[in-house]
Amino acid sequence: MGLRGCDSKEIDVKSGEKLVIVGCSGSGGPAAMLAKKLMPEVDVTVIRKEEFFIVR
Amino acid sequence: MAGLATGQSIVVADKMLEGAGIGVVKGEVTRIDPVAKNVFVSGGDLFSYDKLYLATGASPIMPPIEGIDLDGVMTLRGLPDAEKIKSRIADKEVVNIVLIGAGFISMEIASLLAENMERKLNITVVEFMNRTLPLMLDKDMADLVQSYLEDKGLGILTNQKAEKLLGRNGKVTGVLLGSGETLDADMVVVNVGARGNVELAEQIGLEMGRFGIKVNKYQETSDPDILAGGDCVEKINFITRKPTPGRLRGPAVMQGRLAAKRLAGYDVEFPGVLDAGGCKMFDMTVSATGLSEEHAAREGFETVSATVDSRSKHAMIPGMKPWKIKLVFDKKTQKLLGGQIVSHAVAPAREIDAVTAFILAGKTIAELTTFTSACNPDISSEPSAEPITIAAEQALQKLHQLGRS
Ligand SMILES: Cc1cc2nc3c(=O)[nH]c(=O)nc-3n(C[C@H](O)[C@H](O)[C@H](O)COP(=O)(O)OP(=O)(O)OC[C@H]3O[C@@H](n4cnc5c(N)ncnc54)[C@H](O)[C@@H]3O)c2cc1C
Repeated sequence: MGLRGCDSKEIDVKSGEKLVIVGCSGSGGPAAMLAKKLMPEVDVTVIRKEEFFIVR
Repeated sequence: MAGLATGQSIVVADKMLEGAGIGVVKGEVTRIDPVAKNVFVSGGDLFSYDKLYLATGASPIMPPIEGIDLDGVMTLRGLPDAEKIKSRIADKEVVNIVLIGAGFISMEIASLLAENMERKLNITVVEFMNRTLPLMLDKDMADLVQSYLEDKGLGILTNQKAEKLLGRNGKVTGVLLGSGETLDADMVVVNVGARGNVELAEQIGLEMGRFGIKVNKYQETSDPDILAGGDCVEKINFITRKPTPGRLRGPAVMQGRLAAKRLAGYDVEFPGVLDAGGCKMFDMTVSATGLSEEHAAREGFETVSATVDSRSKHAMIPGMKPWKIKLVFDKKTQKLLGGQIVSHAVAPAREIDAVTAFILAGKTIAELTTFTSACNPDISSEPSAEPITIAAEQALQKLHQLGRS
């Protein structure tokens, strides 16, 4: 598997599709919040092993 | 840690996520099947995905020295670690504390413990390199920090390696240094760096770099349906364009938001990192961005630098505190490479963000000599003492003199 070039266009997640985020702290939390804001029709789930969503 | 922020106050309530319509699952992802596009969670649950974002963070590196498993040897990454340190310190018999590594985490723990404990603690920081905050500061700036902390009663031992942790009945009792000296220790806190949590990524065969998962400027990994960001990915240094760990909160947040934008069809690229960071110890605040003089030299730059003293307010205003900035420029292109601030007030340390913006914009020495800052007697130095401008003027003068000699 090679890294996809920066010109790849087929990355968008479509309405009704599922975005799963592993980890919900510094990066996963903001990713989830903005993904849901920009794509309300996308099903967003965060999975984290820490008890809480903490800010370090 | 200090009791300044309670455990609950640093927790971002799941209600906020759930209120936004985000599903929150507590559990450890143990396996990913990138072909069937399934994520397996401990306890047996399975989640299917169309797109996956990996933000698994990093874990502290515990050096493989003898005694590292003794009771009383700790590190700090998350809330449970902070609770462990606090409960250990509640034991009145804990008096001698040794911190290994003089990065920002150790330095903040050391000062918070010294500042907030009712009883006197003997706190010593042991650092392998020749200075405190070695990834942020050059020796000349770090020396200011060291003497300030020594005046506050902390012991700082640089150029010293912790060879071995000593113990009795399974409990830590001391630290043997490379010099042969032994430090008494009832508690040892080790913070010498972190390693990305990349086991899941490795398991599914994502392309890896030296410092974590390899991603392109859009946070895309080598699997078209998997993006990644934060401490688990390798970053690119904005100046050197070389791979770097870049494990700080700013890049983690921005990469998360960038991945969301990418998935929503926006075309914004991640520019690379400058490792801009800050650290507060007692009433001293340190911030840094870009390359230090030492780092720049290691990267082959010939540099010209300037260090300037400034004031948090106009000189006649009560409460004025001193601060110092060092700027490092590339002699060849005259572009700004980095900045370091050591300040006795919090606000001036934020001037580092201006330095970051100037580096990102490719500003040169000459251009910075005409920088005009927002000025007010209560919130800034006099414009005539604005240290970025003065540092640039000094650098310009140095170059001018070199040109004439
Ligand atoms: C004590 C301390 C103080 C810091 N202070 C600063 C600071 O002042 N400024 C700064 O810029 N940076 C600071 N940092 C660094 C900053 O916290 C990190 O760079 C940032 O948190 C990285 O965000 P992340 O989302 O990549 O990783 P993390 O915040 O570590 O989050 C990782 C997430 O992944 C989850 N996870 C991991 N593996 C799995 C799995 N298999 N299954 C499910 N979930 C999983 C974890 O539970 C967690 O939710 C500090 C770090 C520490 C340790």
